[in-house]
Amino acid sequence: MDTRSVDVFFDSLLDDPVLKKIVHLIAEGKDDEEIVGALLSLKAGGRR
Amino acid sequence: MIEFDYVLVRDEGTRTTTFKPNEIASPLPNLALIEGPNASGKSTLLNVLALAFYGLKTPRLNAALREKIRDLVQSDHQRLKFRIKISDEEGRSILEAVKDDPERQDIVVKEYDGERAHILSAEAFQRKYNLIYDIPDNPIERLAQLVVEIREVQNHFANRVGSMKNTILRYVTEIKAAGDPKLVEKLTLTIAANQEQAEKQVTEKERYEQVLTLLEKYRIGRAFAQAFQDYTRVQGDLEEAQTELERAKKQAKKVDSKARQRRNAVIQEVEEMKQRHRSLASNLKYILPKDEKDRLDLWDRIDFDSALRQRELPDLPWELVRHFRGILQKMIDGNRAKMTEAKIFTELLTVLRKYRDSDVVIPGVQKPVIDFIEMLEKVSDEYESARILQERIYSAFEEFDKLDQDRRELGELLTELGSLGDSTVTEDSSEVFEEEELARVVRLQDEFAAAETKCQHLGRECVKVGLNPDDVHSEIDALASEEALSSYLPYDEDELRKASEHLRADIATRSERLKRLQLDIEIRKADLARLEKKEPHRFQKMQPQLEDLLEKCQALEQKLSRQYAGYLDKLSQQRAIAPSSSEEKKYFDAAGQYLGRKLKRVRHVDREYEVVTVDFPLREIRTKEGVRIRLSDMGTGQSQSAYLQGLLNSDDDRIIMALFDEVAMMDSKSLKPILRRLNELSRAKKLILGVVVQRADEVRVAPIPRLD
Repeated sequence: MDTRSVDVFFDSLLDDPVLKKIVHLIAEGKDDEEIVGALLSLKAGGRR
Repeated sequence: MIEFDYVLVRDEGTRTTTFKPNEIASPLPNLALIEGPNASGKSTLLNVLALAFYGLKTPRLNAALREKIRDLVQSDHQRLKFRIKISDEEGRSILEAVKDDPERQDIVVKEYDGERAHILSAEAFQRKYNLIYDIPDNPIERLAQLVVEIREVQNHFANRVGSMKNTILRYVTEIKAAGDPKLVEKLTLTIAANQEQAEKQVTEKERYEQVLTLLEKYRIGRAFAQAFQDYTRVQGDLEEAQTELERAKKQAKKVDSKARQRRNAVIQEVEEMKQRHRSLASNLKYILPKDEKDRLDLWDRIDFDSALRQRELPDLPWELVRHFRGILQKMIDGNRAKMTEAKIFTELLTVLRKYRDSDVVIPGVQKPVIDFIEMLEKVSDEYESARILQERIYSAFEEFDKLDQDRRELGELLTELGSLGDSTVTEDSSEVFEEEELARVVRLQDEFAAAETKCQHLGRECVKVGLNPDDVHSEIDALASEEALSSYLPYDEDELRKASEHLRADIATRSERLKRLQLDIEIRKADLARLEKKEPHRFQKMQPQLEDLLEKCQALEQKLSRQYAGYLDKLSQQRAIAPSSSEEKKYFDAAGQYLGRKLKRVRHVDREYEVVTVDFPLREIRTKEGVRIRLSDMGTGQSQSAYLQGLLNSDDDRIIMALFDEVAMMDSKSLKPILRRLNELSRAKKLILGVVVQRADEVRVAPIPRLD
């Protein structure tokens, strides 16, 4: 899969930054636990 | 350089044929253009090369070509072994693929690092190398295939998001089951609150039970005292009647029928007055203040039987009646406001008690029915007794009035009886007097037997509740001075019995609620013990964020698997389409740009153009040069070229190994950009192998020209 093109494709379609991030992490080949962990730490960072 | 050797043995039924590199000989240049007639072995070589570098494990390989290479190793009629080695232009080994055993499917691929080689798994190979093996066909179909690729990508992402959603759901479930400190605290507080409530219920229940015990004693004691009084009275009446009977027998008195009727009327009136007098005495006893006891004793001693014996009106103590009436009127005046409130509360309680087990919460006070009844009962206890006191007082007024009326009627009857005088006694009169006395004795004997039975029964009941029947009056007085019973004093026997029943029902309801509460406490305690043993989940504090993420995942999955899939269906139609929403237009634009990036350049008529986007609604390609090329106008060769270039223009960093078969159907102008691209990639060290094959009458192998 041409992940870079796919990433750009979804990035232009989605408005929500969290959804963009999910797609981006999937395209990077991260597994579920890594993605959830990354998104939670992003949220925790955002709160601080 | 591409060095190769293979042996393919094919069982053709009647004979076995062996294929080896022959006309197309090893080695080949890294960028090779091979021409040749059918059966010259050019396609076999491409198949072997694709198979050697994990072609069967390469995703999205042309389906027809995949079948051909699978046939090489998985069919019963073919046996293959090979050795392929790829070196760079300086002669340094890069890759080697070997299949030694024709009977087995195992292929060993090695990558060289200088002189040393290590084995590459299919996954490791595909992370680093991008094997492209294709054959041109209809360009519109190829575009459709690229659309299919988008669909596959979307499905893949939808599946991944679905999997992520399940992972988050699992976390949330685990968090809920884990030892959440907040949940533990909440549960502890709930248990404490329920325990406090249960203790309150126990105290209240015990208090109600104590009141019920006292009330039952009081009720039975009073009933026994009344029964004993009735028993004594009937006994006295019976003895008197028996004396009268004896006297009548001795006198053999005869009375004529008229006098007998008058006398019977007098007897009946006297009995009614006695009955009313007794009832009134009993009533006054419980409603008048205690300091009226001496006057009540005087009231008790009125002798109504003198009316019969002496044929004159019993002497009613009118001063006493006026005195009693005065006291009762003052009691009414003093309690008038309370009586109205009592009426409201009593009626309200009557309705609510029908629903005492309901879970309905009363608005305003926010309490369940049973608690509201409890509140009302507390404030209405004194109202209830006030209400009953009022009834008793009005009843006493009525009885006084009726007694006065009875007395007047008795006076008239006695006057009539007196007017008959002794002349009423004649020789012709029948011996009725004796018979009447006898009948009275028999009736009183029956009454006496009933009173005796009732007295004995209530005497036994007294013993059961711990009362001494011989000293019941002092025990009743002691109970009447109990604070808990003060409101019940004006009640009559029937009202006391109803009050006992209400108390019993309240106690039963409280017991039931207490049981439910205790069960709830036990269950929560078990939950608490279970939770306290568990460690908090690592995402325990992030539950709201996880739930938020879950919602996002659901939304994204929905978009990918339904909304975007629907747009893609529309986009796949082979005709011009109009987007029905701004979001759909956005999707068409994004898909067009994605495909534009994949195509990169297309040739139209005699020029090459750089693709910006594929405009699906208008079915045309837009180029950087500002030219719009309608898809339907694109020549087959041009489309082939566009497609093959699309394959070569991937954005990732993997090293390409490109094998293109049957490119002869493309004209030289269409083929040129492909050959030029292969050269560009090779020079940029992004391609280590490029073999292009086309049909021709003669076999010819040459390096791909640079075409700069």
